[in-house]
Order: sequence, then C-alpha cells, then structure tokens
Amino acid sequence: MTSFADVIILSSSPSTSPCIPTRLASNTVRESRILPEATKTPSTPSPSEPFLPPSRSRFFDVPTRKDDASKKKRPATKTTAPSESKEKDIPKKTRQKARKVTNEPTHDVVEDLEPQSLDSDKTVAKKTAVSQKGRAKPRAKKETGNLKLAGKVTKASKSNDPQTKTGQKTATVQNTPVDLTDTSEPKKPSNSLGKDEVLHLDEAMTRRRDWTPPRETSPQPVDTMDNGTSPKESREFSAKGGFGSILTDYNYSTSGSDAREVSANEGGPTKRRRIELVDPQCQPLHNRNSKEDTLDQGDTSSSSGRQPKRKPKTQKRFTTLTARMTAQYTSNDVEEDLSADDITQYITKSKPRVSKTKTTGNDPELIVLSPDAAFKALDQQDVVFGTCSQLERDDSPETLREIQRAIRASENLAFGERGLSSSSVLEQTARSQSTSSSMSRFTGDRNLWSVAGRDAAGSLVQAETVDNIDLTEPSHVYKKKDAPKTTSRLDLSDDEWLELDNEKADTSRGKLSSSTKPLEPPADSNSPTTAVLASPVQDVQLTAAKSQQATDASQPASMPQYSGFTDAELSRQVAAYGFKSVKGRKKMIDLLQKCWESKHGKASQTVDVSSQPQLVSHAEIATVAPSKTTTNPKAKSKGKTKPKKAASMSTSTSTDAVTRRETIMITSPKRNQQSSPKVGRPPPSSYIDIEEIQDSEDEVFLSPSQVQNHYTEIFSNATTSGQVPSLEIMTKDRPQTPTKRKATASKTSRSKKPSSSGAASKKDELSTPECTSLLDISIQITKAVRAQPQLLAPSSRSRPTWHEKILMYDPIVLEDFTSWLNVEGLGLIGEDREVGTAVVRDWCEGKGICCCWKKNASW
Amino acid sequence: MDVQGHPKPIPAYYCCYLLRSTVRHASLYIGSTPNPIRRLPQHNGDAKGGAKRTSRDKLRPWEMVLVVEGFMSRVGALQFEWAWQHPEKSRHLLEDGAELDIQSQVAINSKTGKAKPRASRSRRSLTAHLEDLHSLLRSVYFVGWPLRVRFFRADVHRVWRIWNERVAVPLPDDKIILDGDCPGQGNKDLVVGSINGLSVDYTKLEAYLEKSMFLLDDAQDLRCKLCSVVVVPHTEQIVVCPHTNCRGAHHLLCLSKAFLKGADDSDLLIPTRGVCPACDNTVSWPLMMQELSLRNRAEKEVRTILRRKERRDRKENANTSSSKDKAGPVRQASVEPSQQGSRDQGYPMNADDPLLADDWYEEVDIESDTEHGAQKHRSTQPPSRLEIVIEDSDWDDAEIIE
Repeated sequence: MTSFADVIILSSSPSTSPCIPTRLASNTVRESRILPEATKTPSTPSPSEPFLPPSRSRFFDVPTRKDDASKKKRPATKTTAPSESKEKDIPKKTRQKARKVTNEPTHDVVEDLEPQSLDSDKTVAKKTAVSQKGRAKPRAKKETGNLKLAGKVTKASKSNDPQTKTGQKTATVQNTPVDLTDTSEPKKPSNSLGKDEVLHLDEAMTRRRDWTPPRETSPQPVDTMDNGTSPKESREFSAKGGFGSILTDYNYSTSGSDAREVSANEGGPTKRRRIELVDPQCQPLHNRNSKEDTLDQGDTSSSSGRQPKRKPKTQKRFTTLTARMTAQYTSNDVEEDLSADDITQYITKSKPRVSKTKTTGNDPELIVLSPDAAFKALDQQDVVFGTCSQLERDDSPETLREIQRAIRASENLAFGERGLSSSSVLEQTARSQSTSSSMSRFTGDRNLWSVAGRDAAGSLVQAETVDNIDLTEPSHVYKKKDAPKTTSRLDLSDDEWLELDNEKADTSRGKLSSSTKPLEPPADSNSPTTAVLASPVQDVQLTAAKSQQATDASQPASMPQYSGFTDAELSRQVAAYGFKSVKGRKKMIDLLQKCWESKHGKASQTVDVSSQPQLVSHAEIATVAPSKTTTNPKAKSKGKTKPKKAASMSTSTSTDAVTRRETIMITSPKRNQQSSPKVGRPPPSSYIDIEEIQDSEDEVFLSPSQVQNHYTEIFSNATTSGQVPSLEIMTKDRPQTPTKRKATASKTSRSKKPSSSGAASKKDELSTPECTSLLDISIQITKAVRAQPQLLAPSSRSRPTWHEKILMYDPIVLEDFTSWLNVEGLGLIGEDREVGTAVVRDWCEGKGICCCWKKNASW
Repeated sequence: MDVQGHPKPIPAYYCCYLLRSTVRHASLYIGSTPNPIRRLPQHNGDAKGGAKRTSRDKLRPWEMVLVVEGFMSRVGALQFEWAWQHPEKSRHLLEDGAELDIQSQVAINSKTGKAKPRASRSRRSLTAHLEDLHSLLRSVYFVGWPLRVRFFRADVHRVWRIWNERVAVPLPDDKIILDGDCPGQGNKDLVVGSINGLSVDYTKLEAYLEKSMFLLDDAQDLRCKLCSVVVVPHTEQIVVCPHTNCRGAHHLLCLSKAFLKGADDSDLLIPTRGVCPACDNTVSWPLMMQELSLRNRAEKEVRTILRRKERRDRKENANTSSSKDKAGPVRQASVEPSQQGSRDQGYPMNADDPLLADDWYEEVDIESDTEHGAQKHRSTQPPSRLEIVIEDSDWDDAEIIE
C-alpha cells in the first residue's frame, strides 16, 4: 500500500512546486515512499518540514498539524525531541531508516537509496526486475499519470531527471559503448523499474521551492521515453546522461532543452545544430546522435572498450571552458557525425592543417590523451572569453566565426584588388591567421577592424575623416618650421611613407601581446603555430606591399569613390562637410565630389602659400587617397556581413579616431618628427598594420626628454634672438590628449587654491595650457634658478641668490620665490609664462627643497 | 628669508622624536625639538614645559625610542613632525592624484586644515608610526634631506626592521643609526648611548669654525680651486673644507656644481656629499652648509663659541700642562679621528692640527694638547653654550594617546 500512498504524494507535490535541495529531496522521497503519510508534506513551505517526522508515528501526526497550518515545532507527542533540533539529524535518521527499509522486502527503496551508483543500480534493477516487477509497474503508471497532471512542474523534475540519470550516465560513459550495448538489453526491465524510482525521485525533487528555480524543461518526453521499453530509446536515454548533460543542466539556456529534444528526435543534423556545435548545450545532443549512429554502425568506435573517448577533432573551437571540459566526455562519434556537416568545413579544415594535433585530427578513433597531451591540445584550442550571457547572446560561435571570415574576406579583398596573389594563397593565409593563435582572436579582430578603417598613412578612411585628413595637411605645413625635419621629409618617397607607418605599427605591435599574431610581418611569425604557413604569408604580404607601393606611387591623388559608400556614410560625409542632409544618393555623391575637389584644391593652395614644397603634400595625398579607395570596398563588404558588434566597434573606433585626430591635428608635426628618423630603415613586409589608438596617443604625449629638448631649443632661440616668445610654439605643441587635459585641469584647480599671495593671484589668470606644461615649467624654474646671475656679487653673502639659499638648506618662502620667478627669474631664460605658488611648491617638493609659506617662515 | 633680514643659521641640532611611555608601551607621542636632552625631562615632568599629552602621571616616565635627526631647518623639522603626526593628511604620504583636496602640508598651521573631516586615528600603533616614518623618509620631499633615524630601543628597531623587510624599497642603511641598547651598532663615532649623549649644540662645529675662520681671515691669495678666482669671504659665500688639514675654500656655487656633476640626476639642486677638490676627501654637504650658515649669519655666536672654546682649551691646557710630554703622541692620535669625524659631523673638535699652519699655531696659542677624555667630556656637557632659543613644538591639538 505504501506504493499507492506514494503515488498520491507525488502527484500533489509537483503542483505545489519544488524547491527542496536535491539531497533533501531524495531523503524526502525515501521517507515519502516509506511513509505514505508524508505525502502531505509538500504543502509545507519549508524544506525541513518533510523531515520533521523521524518516525512513522510522527508522520502520522505531522499531516494533521500541517493541515492545521500550524507549522511544525510542536514536539510530537510521540517524539521526545523538538522537531527543530531534529532537523539536522534528520538526514541521517532518514537514511538509517531508509537502510532499514531497504533491508525490508521492498526493493524499490534500495534503488532509490542508491540511484547514483550504477552497479548497484544494475544489480538491484535486475533483482528487482524479477521480484518486484508486478509491484512496481502499477506504481509507475500512477506516477506518470500524476506527473502529467503536474506537468507544469517541469523544471524541478527536469533538473532532477538529468542528475539522477547523469549519475548513471557518467558511469556508462566511462564504461564505453560496449558496456552500453551489453547492458542495454538487460537494462530494459531495470529501466522500467528504475523509472518508477526515478519518477519518485523526480516528483519528490519538485518540492524544492526555496531554491533557485531550475531550468524549465518539460519532463514529459523524457519520462515517456523512459517508460518506453524500446532498447534504442533506453540507450539513448542513457547516452543523454553524459557529463555534458549535467553541465547543460547547469547552464541556464534560453533556448531550452526543447530544441534539443526536437533535434534529438529528428536525429538528422540541422542548421540549428550546426550553429550550436560549439555550444556546450549541443554536446549532449551530438552525443545522442552519435549514439544512435553507433548503434547503426555497429559500434566501430566503441570497440576501444574501456578507454574514455575523446576525439582530437572535437578540439575544434570550443568556445567556452565548459565546452572544453565537457568535450572530454563526449564520444568521438560526434566528429563522424560532424564531418558530414558544414561546420567542419570552416572549422576543421583549417584547423588540422596548422595545429599540432593535426596528426590526431584525422584519426577517427577515440584516443585518451595523456594529461600532457590534453593540456597541449587545450592550449591550441580557441577560446572565446566572455560571460555566459555574452557568449550566448549575439556572439554565438557562428557569428564570431562569421565576423572573422568577413574580416579575412575584406583583407583578402584588399590583397586581391591589387591582384597580387592567387585566392588559394590568400585562403591559406587567412586560415593560418585564424589558426595562428586562438587566444588572440578578439584582439586580432579589433586590430583588423581598426586597420580596415585606416589607410596606409594611418589616417581614417571613413567618410567623416576625410576632411580631417585634409585638415592635417596644413598641420604638416606648419611642421615645416622645424627646418631640419622638413628637409629630411622632402626626400621621402611614397614608399617611405608607407614604411613609416609600418614602422610605427611595428613598434605599436611590440606593445601588443604576442597573441596578436595575425598579419604580423615575417619577423614576428616565429611562433610555432604560424610557422607552418609563415613563408607563404610572407610572400603574399611582401608582394602585396610591393604592389601597393607601386600602385600608390603611380596613382595620382584621387577622390574617394563616393559611389561606393553606403547611404549612411554618404550622409555622414555630407554632414562632415557642413551641409545639411541631402536627399538622393546621387546628389550626395555629387556634392561630396565637389566638396572634395574644392578642398583638395584648397589644401594644395595652402601648401603653396606656406611655401611648403608641394612634393611633400602630394606624397601624403597620394598615400592617403589610394588607400581610401582600396579600403572603401572593404567598408562596403563590412557593411554587408559585419555583425552588430563589429560594426559598433568599427564605428566607435572611427569616431574615436576622428575626435582624436582633431585634437591631435595641431600636434601632428610631432608625429612626423617622431617618424622621420625612422625613414632610413628597411621597409617591412606588409602595409597592413595595426595602428593602435593608444599609440597615437603616445605619440602625442611628449616624453620628458622631448620636452626638454624642445625647451633647450627654444631657450637657445630665445637667447640668440633676444626675448623671442617661443610660447606660441609651445602651446601648439602641447599635448592635448584628454588624459593630459584632465590632469592639467586638476592641477589648475589645485593651483588656484593657494592664491593667498599677490603673486598667486596672477597665476590664476593663467590659462590651462599654461599649467598643462607643469613639467616643462618646472624645468624652466630650475633653469631660472640656475641662471640667476650673481650680478649682486658684492652683496652675495648678505643677499644670497635663490640657488644659494637652496644649497644652504634655507627654507624657501614660496611667495617670495614665486614673485621673483615671475618678475625676474623666468624672464632670464626667456620664459614668458608665469608660475603660481602651487606650481612652485610642487617644484620645490619634487626636488626636496624645504619650502614654506611666508607666514610660517618665522618658525 | 631675506624679507626678515636675518636669516637664521642652520640649527645645530633638530630632531623629531618618538616618545614612548615606559609604563605602557602602546602610548606614543611624536614631537620635535632642537634639544632632546632638555625636552625629555619636560615630558617627564622633571622640568617645566612638557606637552599636555604627556603629563599623565600614569604614563610617566617617557622614553625617546628613536629620533630622526639631521634637519637643516626648524621649518623642515616641523613639517616632518606634522607629516608624521598626520599621515592621513600629509601630501607626502599620499599617492599622486589623491592629493587634490588635502590642504598643503607645508602650511603646517594652516587653519584650513580643519575643513576636511579628520579621520580619527585616535590611537596608532608603533608599527603604524614606524610605517609612516618609513614612507616619509622615502617620500619625494624628504628623501633628499640628510635625515637619519637613531634608534635607542632594540625592540623598536626590531619592529622597524621587520617593516623594512616587508617594504619593497628599504631605506638605505646609512640613514639608520643603531644606538642605545640596539644590537649590532656599527659606527662607533655615531653612537652616543643615550639621549643625553647627543650633541645638540654647535660644539661639534667648533673646530671646523675655528679653522675656517682662521683660514678666511688670512685669505689674500686664497683662490677657489674651481674657478681660480680669489675668494672674498666678506661678500661671497665661501665653503671651507671641513678637514682640518685642508685649505680648500670654494665658492658655494662652484662647489655645488662640481659635486653635482658626478650625480646622474641633472635636476638635482642640492648635493649630499662630494669630494673636496683640494684634499680629495669626501665631505658632507650638510655639514659644510651648517658651518657656512653659522659663520655667515651668526657671527656673534661664532665669536662666542670660539671664545668659549679658547677659554676651555686654555683651562684644559693648564690641567694637562703637567703632562706635557704626552702631547706628542696625543696629537698624532688626534689627527686620524678628526678626519673620520669630520666626515660625519658627529665628531666634534680636533682643531689642533700641527700641519695646518705654523703661524696659526702661534696665534691660537691655546690648544697644542687635546686629550681623548676631553672630547667626551665636552660632548656630554650641557648644551647651553649657544643660546639660540627655539621653542619645542607641542603637539597639543593632537589626539590623546594613551
């Protein structure tokens, strides 16, 4: 009769909803089975409730209490201890009880107690199958019926389901297919019996209400399948229980198991499946399919017996750690299955070629890798980092892959346009790039995009930037003021410009982690992964670079192909020129062309006016323009294929770059200064290089030595030509990067504080640029201090110079010192700016010079 | 300082000290004084003028477990003291960037300091104090100062050492002086044994002063070895080598430039030491500056010092005249220590160098003989020879340490 009672309980429990921890749940299940009265426990909200009655007698009492809705805690009349105290003990007790019960004739209990030990399960199942079949069956029926009633409860039951099953499954997986096949037949009865128990478990589990709700899945199909006695299904069911399924259960997937179930039922590969290949969720699915296949094929792969199977091929890109880990537990059959799919085309093809695991890749057999080998393999696998949500959302493996493909395609386009290389070679390079280092994928993407957005000169290609590019040219003109640099620049040929950029990029790349292998010049392609294809890549790149140079040289400055722009880009361009939006693509193009022409003319004019040799400007234009044209198609293709993320990235970078460029524009002479010394170096192989935004920032940032040099220069000028105010140059050259600005802002705010003295108030009027050069001003102060003439030599002893005071450890009165600096000191060295007391104080403290305010000087 | 007309000379001695109750070791106090020998009895109630915070009988007596000495100005010492007392407010202890709204530490008494709600660090442990001291000594502002930490208590030094090992940038050893009961004391010249052994007046400069005064008085043909220009001591800042047998005299700027030439940092303005171009001995810049400032700015005091020294020497001379025969060996012995001692400014006076000049010998006719005992005797004498009264700082607004 207990069984009957159980059934009732179970049915009720699901409806109430489940949140008892599995362990508790199992316990409760046992109890419930043992004690029919427990059935009412589900109504109780607290998970502990079911345990309250340690003894049957208690149980009898309990229900009544619960019905009264007065919860627990009245010591049971028959039990001595208060229920609360017993709660802790309960598990043990229940277990003991269960044990006792198991000793009793009812075998069901036994199974339930040890659902996770496969051996016991089997044996028990066999035993019970024989002895208790009759008994178990009715129960099962009833349960199923109940379950259906409670069908909504899916979550808990589902989660429980796999767990219990997975227990079996893990075991089975380890035992390998052979075992499966062997056991499959005898299992049939056991399954039916087990099912009953399993059902019990499930039902009971549903009670955990207080815990995190398990994923919503419908238990129904599983149950029915379980009930179904067909060997295939049972096997499939068992196969499903692989370790992967556990993980999938942990995985909170929106797609849910329904799709899986469907696909599993369908058996055939679908697009969907392909997409999810990398997804951990899909592993179990493949398992299932593979299992089926193995059945059909006759266990060819499973012959390996005890060996846990793991196919090297499966190493293709597991995008998540979970997938990686689960991969070890998936059967090799997956690959065979997959090989037929399209997925393999773009994953496996490229992979084995380059990867070290290549040899193993073709091996259909499942091989247990040694730990070392496994680690190695893991190292070579691609990893996509991200939160689950990220990985799951838009960045499904496929999209990622497509992004990469698009990038590669665009790159190839760039090459191909020059007609340099055969497509096959390009493909190879692309593949090698993709495989070179999986870790670098993301950075690689970013860099590639940023590269795509820039032309050979490192300036932005995007529409918005066109005017900026034009604007930079005057800045080049400006640069001419530095005579030596100009001359050196005049010699530059187009090729050299390219080289410059490459050099820059090289240096920048040095900063990047070694993982950014793709597209690296041959010199850097020493890494083992790229080594295989390194030489072809080199060739391609070299030729590409050469041809590009050639084209660049031959091509006159040309207008960007506006016809190739998308409408949005066009409108942006128009806006960039300061026009209102124009309707009609053609009009826009016309307008833009006119604008460009006028601008172009203007630029050259300015160049002429500024007496800058035209060669330079032309060279620049030449380099800029062709790259524009070449990259435009890229942009287009991007537009088509690029997924959201990439688009946003590119746009953001471009806008970023635009703003930066604007800020930099003034300082661009600096860049050229920096780059000009590099001219002499041999040309690197490829023009495609990553110009990091940060690098550009760095360029703008002056190193102290640079600043110093600059000032020495200025100083010398000042001294020679009297009091030539070099301030103009300085302000223009002053770095204007945001960070710097921020710092200066803070500095200014600080410097304004101690405006107590008259001298300080002067300083307040100083603009921020004044303070941006805190660094140089401190140098200037030092210089001024040293330059203080000892004209007053006769009174030197009574009126020491500031330098002498400092040397003698005199506390420097900041107000006096500052006023001296402003009135006299800085003038001595041709410095027009003035300093505030705060700046002076910083200077003193930085030098370890004791300084104080006037009011404290009397100490 | 020229605003005030009378710049002060570099004080003979100024230190910040960490006071600890011998009764209750957790009670600590940070102060600064030019004269710890006088200050400690004040804290202990033996003399008037102790800080209020140290007036509790329960906690007395106090001991100075360490002193940070070598301050070149009272202002500097007070700044250091304030920073040590208020590590949470001192800009010198803050990382860059966090210093924005901290009131200038340089303005020690700035009333605006109250604007910021003070983090109540009521009771701070010895370790915390030592930690702050450590980082202060490494701070940009103070690192270049010629400061030295003198430990008088072994247990305190142990704590310090532990901390020093934990810090990535340990303090150089030459900034540490083990004294008192600390084991492993190194340079015997620097060890004084206790607070009372400290030389807190210009006594240690007597000989140096004497020599330089003498040298510069007769400076017709004395040339700066660096610029080869005749020095004019009355109008120029002339630095005299502290070594007794060296006639090196240089312009201040010339010498500093020469000393800084060897330094890597072109930005450096103040040298710490250098090799005297005249005698090739390493000389301490702070010591020379101390002498220079004293000589140039406090002529009256210098005269007083020299007169006293003269008188004293005469007396001693009389006392030891009976044993004139010893003079020879003693004089020889005194030459070597003078060279050592002058390097580290702790070793006062061995003015009687026969090698100096013949006429000098006659002019100053006093000395001829100095005994070993005399030095010790002098250094332990009460320090009130030169009365430059500088008040101690009382840390009265500070939180009470118990």
